[in-house]
Amino acid sequence: MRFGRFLSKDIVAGIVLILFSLWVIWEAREFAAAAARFRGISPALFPTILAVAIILLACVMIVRGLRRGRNWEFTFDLRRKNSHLALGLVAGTALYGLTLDFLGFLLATTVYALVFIVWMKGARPLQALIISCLSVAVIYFVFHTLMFVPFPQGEIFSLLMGE
Amino acid sequence: MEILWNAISQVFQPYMILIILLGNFIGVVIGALPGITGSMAIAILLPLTFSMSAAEGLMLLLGIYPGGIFGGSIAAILMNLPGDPPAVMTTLDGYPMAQKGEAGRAIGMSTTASLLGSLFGVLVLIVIAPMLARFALRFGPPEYFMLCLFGLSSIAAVATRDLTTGFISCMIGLLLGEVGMDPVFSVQRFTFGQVNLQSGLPFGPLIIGLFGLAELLRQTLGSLEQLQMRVQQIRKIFPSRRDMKICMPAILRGSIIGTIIGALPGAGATIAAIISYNVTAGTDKNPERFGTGVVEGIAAPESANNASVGGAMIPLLTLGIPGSTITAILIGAFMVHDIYPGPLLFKDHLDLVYVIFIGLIVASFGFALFGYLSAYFAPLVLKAPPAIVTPLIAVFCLVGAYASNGSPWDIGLAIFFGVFAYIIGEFGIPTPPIILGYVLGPLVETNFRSSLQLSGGSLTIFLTRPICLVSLVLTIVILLYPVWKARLHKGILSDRGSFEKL
Repeated sequence: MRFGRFLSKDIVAGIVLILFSLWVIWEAREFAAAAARFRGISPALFPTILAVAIILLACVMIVRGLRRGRNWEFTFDLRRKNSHLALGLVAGTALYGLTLDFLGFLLATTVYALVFIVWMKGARPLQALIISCLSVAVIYFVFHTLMFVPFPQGEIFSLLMGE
Repeated sequence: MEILWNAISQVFQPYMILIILLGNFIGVVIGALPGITGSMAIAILLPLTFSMSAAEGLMLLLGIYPGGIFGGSIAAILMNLPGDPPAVMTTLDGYPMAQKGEAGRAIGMSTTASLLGSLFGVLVLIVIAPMLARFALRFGPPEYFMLCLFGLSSIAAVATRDLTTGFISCMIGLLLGEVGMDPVFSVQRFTFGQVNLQSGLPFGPLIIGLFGLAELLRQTLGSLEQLQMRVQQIRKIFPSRRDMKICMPAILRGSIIGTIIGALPGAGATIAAIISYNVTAGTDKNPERFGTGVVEGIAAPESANNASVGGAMIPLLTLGIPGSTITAILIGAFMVHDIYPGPLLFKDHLDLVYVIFIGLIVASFGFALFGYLSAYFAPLVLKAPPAIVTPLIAVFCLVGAYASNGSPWDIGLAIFFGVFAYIIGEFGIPTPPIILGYVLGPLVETNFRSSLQLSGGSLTIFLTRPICLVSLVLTIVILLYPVWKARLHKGILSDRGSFEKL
């Protein structure tokens, strides 16, 4: 009997959901203890009810998975070029979030847009630079100038200016 | 009558019309921007009204209010990114319509439904405001809990393919709504010791991740050529007679639901849109059509969320009770001018009350004007090459996530939920019910606990009150209808099969 025969999305999802729900119940016990000195309905009651409901539904998923048999296909596949692009999008976005304070909104956002437009072959580098700069300028004007959203100016500029 | 004519002549001055239109424009633009809500816009622009007269200041803010609620639908339809929470349900059918090349038709219907809903809400406000306000006050925690439970039964409409995964998704959403400080005991729940999570998961990054970034991931994993959206030739910006005939029942239902729910303190436009969508999809002959890009799926939530504006003004003006963040800020705008909403407002400042009524009607037509213009121009954006539009939408998502609290932490949250939504989507768990659970979760829990507190822990409190009982029956009917229908369909098929065998 091969394990692969049972490899079903429903079974894996069901098991993960049961583990997650058990963790929720475990966590709920902790904040139930923290609120034990107060009178009233425990803050753990509702999360526990939800976790139990998820466990029951996950069991339904597992049973269904066992009946349906093998089902293990995903749109994400490292052999495909577009999967690299999707990974790049996630990694690039994370990098953007990490460097935003250091590079500042204008520089970080322009570089982000420029890199992805060029990578996706949307435009040549010079065209992409113009599109990125214009888009970021519009976004900056609407969000920062009109709506007073405080964007980071960039520590790098303070360092370069010797402040 | 003289007061009415005075109010009309006051509102229809060029300067006042200009103020209302300015408010509408700001509202529509801000509503369409993810991460910035109508309440933020009103709060930011409130100081501008200090130097204006009470009527002028209120006209500006009342222009922003419905405009902001409508504006959310534009981003929802074009980018699968609800600009405002009340537009969440509009994404379900609006974005699939845009993908089919019907973005103009979708925005046109969204505008018309919002206009009609808004006018209905204002008319109810004018005619039966005090009566509805008294009815709204009969809602206690058990009634709110059952109302939210009814809202949650929308899963039957949202997750027609598979109720099990729909429920799981909704439960996850309810748990996400639990994150943060417990409202009763001030105990931290699921915060992992993070200060940023103490006030709960912010709506902006969550929705941007679940809808915006997850959709971008799915799109990048597909072929870029397939991403090019078809854009229809925009001949008419107004909905066709046929569309109006199809959608009129949904608009009427949505307007009634929106006005009533808007009048309930603490409920608001988002819940109104959810319930209206739920009722329309639940009572349709083929509920499985919803979510695939049907025009009624836009008309129902959009009429409801804009009708809730008139509804929300009812407790505000008649009782002085703000039912939402926006109306709470609006109370501030009244008080700056030494005017206090409540029963005395109708006695001492009846002229201003009529100016508000007329102003709200003008504001409804004002945002509709911008809506129809956007129906004409906005879909043209989709003509741009996807390899340029996709990175720019990603930038827009990130800026929206950042703007929610001005913190890179929110960008991290958006990425996390984007990847999370993509992964659970691969396992067949749908994303929209998560938002239903997240939006309704805190209300469900707070009212559930308050109800149990009231009844000394007995669940019978939900069965002994008439409004609760009606809500419970409706919830069961909506949830069981698809199951019953599927069985009936199966029965017909098997009968047909046995007939053919004969």
